[in-house]
Amino acid sequence: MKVTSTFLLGLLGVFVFSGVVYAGTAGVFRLPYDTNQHWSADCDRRGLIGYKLIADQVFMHLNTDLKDRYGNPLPPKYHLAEDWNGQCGNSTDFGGVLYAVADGIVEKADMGGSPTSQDNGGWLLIRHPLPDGNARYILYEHIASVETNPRTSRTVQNRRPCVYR
Amino acid sequence: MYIGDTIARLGDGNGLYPTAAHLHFEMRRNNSLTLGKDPYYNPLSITDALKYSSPSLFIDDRNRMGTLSLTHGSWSVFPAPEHAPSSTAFIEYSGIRHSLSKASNLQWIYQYVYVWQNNRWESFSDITQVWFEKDRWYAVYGFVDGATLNILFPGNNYQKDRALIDMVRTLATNINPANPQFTTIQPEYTTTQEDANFVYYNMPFVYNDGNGNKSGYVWQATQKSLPMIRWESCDNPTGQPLGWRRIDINVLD
Repeated sequence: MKVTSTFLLGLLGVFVFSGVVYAGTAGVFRLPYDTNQHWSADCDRRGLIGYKLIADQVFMHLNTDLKDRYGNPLPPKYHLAEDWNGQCGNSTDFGGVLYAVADGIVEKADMGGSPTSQDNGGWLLIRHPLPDGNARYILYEHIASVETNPRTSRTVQNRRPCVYR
Repeated sequence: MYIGDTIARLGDGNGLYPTAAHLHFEMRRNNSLTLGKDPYYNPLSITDALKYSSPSLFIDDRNRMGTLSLTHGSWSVFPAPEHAPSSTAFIEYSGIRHSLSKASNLQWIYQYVYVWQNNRWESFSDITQVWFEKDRWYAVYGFVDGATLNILFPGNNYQKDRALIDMVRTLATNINPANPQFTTIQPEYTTTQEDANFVYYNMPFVYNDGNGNKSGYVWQATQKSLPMIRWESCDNPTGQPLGWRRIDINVLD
């Protein structure tokens, strides 16, 4: 093919950053929290404004400080995930809002306390199909609540019900 | 469910962590793993490590996007605003997103892409093999109206996570993970060194050659000026060691 100047001038496209997304297959990803969110008055008083989470455990971290529910030490193990804690420490981030990192489908959720749940509290599993046909599954664990209704509909958006499979 | 939807509230594991509420944030490559149980392993095998992705790295690689509108029967010409792989780029048409490969198969776009280099347009027969280089010009042909080309720009943060995943992949590719001589990887002993051009990561692994456990090493080198350029190398307890070899720049996690 020959490329002419007409071709160049007539068909020039322009890059813009898109804010439009569609449900189903994931496109762009984002963090699961809003860095501008205020979640603790105490934190604000200490000058640590904003819903900043910091990494407590990073990916593949060898945790040498494992303890059981009763405080007894456990052998060190590799953690194949990340733990994020509020920068004000302790449980000052309790109840902080968590967001979907990308378009996807809620696969399962369990708020704990049922015969099928472990004793790690609530969790939510979301499947993010990727444009190449693969998928990633994000697990949010130790959560206090799920902000969706699992009983009535297929999809969930902010303040919309969703379905669990 | 859409990006940015409110989905949950951060908690303390129903009291399991009464003074340390936190988010356990985990990314899996498949859905066959146990739910509601932290992914703790020791020893850590290649097979188990490959079941997971680093969520921060994965998001950082896909956090910013440039979009180009395509037109039916026309070449759209554009300069790449940043370095980016084609492996995470996608075409969106009628609300559906597909990889460049799938979009080409569906005849949303032409499989050829033209790249301006050496003062002329050069054709590449497979758009999925193209690396988008910052400020270089590209031409993509659309077969449908209303489609967009979307390119995701890696943030190039979390380089250690990328190095760890690259090194696990290097071992999986060059050493049979099912070989009983191979035992475990030890990411906690990963060290870094650097020179003017590269950061070098070095992770030990353990194998048994019949005379007890021995250590081998796997290396990854990340180019400082363009972190997507990486090299790999490793010992091989059952064969020839792998000399330095360039990792496909289009391969992310």
